[in-house]
Amino acid sequence: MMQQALAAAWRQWAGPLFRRSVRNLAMILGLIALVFCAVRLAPGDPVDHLLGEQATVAERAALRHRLHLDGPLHRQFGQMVVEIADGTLGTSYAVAGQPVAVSALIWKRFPSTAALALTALAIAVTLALPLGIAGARHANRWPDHMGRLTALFAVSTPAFVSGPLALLVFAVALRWAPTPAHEASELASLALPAAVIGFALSGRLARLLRASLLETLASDMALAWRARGASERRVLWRHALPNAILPVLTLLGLQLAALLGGALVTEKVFGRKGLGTLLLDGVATRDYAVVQGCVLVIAALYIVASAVTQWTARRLDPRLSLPAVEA
Amino acid sequence: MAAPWRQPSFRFGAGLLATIALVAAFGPLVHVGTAGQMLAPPSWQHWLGTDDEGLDIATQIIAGSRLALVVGVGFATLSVGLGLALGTLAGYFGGVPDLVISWVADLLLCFPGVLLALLVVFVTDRAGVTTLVVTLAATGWAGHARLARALADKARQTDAVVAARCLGASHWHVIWYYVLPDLAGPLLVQGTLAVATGVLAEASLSFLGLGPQGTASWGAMLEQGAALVLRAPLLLLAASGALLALVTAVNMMGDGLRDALDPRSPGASGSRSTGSP
Repeated sequence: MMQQALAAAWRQWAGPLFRRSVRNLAMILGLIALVFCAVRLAPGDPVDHLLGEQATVAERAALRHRLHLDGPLHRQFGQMVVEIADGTLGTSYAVAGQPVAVSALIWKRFPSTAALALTALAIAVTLALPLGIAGARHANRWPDHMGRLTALFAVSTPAFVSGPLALLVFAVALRWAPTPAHEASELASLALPAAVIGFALSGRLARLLRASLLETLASDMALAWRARGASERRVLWRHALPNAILPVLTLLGLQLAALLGGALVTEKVFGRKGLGTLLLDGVATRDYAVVQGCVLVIAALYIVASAVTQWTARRLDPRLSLPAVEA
Repeated sequence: MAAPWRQPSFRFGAGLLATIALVAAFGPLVHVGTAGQMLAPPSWQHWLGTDDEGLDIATQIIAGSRLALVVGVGFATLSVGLGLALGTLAGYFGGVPDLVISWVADLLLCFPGVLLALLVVFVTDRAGVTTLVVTLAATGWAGHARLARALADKARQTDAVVAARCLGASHWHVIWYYVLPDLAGPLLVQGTLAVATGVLAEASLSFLGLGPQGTASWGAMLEQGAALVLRAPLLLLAASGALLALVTAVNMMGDGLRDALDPRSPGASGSRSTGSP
């Protein structure tokens, strides 16, 4: 009895969880190896970039030792794993030669990036829900055509087009928002970049929601509810929407992960000090420790977030846990 | 393949793309703006004025269209080719090739946006156009491979394939005559949309100051235009317009192709019914 219950629990819970954990762990190890190799393959010597031309041989050797660049590759890889495990993510010497833990740099930038990501997401959802629902409700009539056109425009406009244009219109011409050059309150300087990201994201969400809703509304389930006399409104809100929202939630989870990793372009356009600009500054100054740390953190965030998203989706929709059925 | 032409969005997108391609191909014959005064307003010599180095903006837009088309089409061809080959291999044969290919693809998909390309460009220290295209394709095939794998896995299990194998057909014969035809349509759609992805990736990297050096790029012009927005707004507007036109054209073609190939697609419009009960 006990054994059967345990076996059942393993099949349903622990087994898949264990398998997925191993997979994600392998993914993160692969990620570390990939970033390690990429940075080591770079032409040019990081020591030269840090010390300049005039440094003496002794100075170079000392820095090389501090950066752990003088050992064999497997020792360097071990060192990198240790630095990840102890939470420092390596040490940056780029700021006036002072050693700073990369994780400290990242932590300092993270609140700004997180605020931008969450505000943008809120804007995107607020725009996408009515747009997607109206599009499905009035499919192939004018609200739908307008919505699809808006969504297409939003999807086709990258942040490095909409960002400067938004600055030109709202900050320079209308003076509704501060320009990056001016000091302004956090809230005021957050509005425009969040709107730019949120608008672009809302296009993708609305398109997905519309397609998903239309598919659900055409399903046998919806037909059955209509046959029982449910009003079209009730079929849409009570039955179709909960079924159709899942792919949208999945996309939201992944987008949040991508945004938490820093919006490279938007942060640059609006002069925000976030994770994205930290990475870009690291690239510009050839600060290997910072680039390595940022790339690792961003990708690891993405892995964790997609795992959480998948897990949530399975909890919300038990059909996803069933073995695939032939259509 | 007459079907896509019945989609208005495909016709519009194809027309727009053809126009851009014509401009890219023959533009330099029609309009060669020599360097002149800095920040000059539009005139007969400089249709869109000049930038802060006195370079003609219209000429740069045309040069940028060549780069955008080369990178976009090159990226789409290479990445879809790679994804098709690896995904078919993984989906048809399964086993160890599938494990390895799927693992690498999943690993590449962990990097949001242009992050991985940015890392490689950082490593190669801003190399030329060819390196950029190869870099983008080497990091961008994973999504196509995932689709090809799923479709190949499905095609492998059809009765037609089982029958062909029983009649002694080789794996390569089966892949060529039974599996690839099933993959052609969806991957053609993906390939079309990938052109836009490639164009945008190149523009992002150029905007971030990591694009190929020595050629005019819309992304770099946007970055320059954002700084000069008050003194030369046409620089920003022209580069944005060109980029949006190309991306919209390609996306509309992709959407139209998808609707044409999949009659059940929710976006399907035109003469056919949407297949609702």
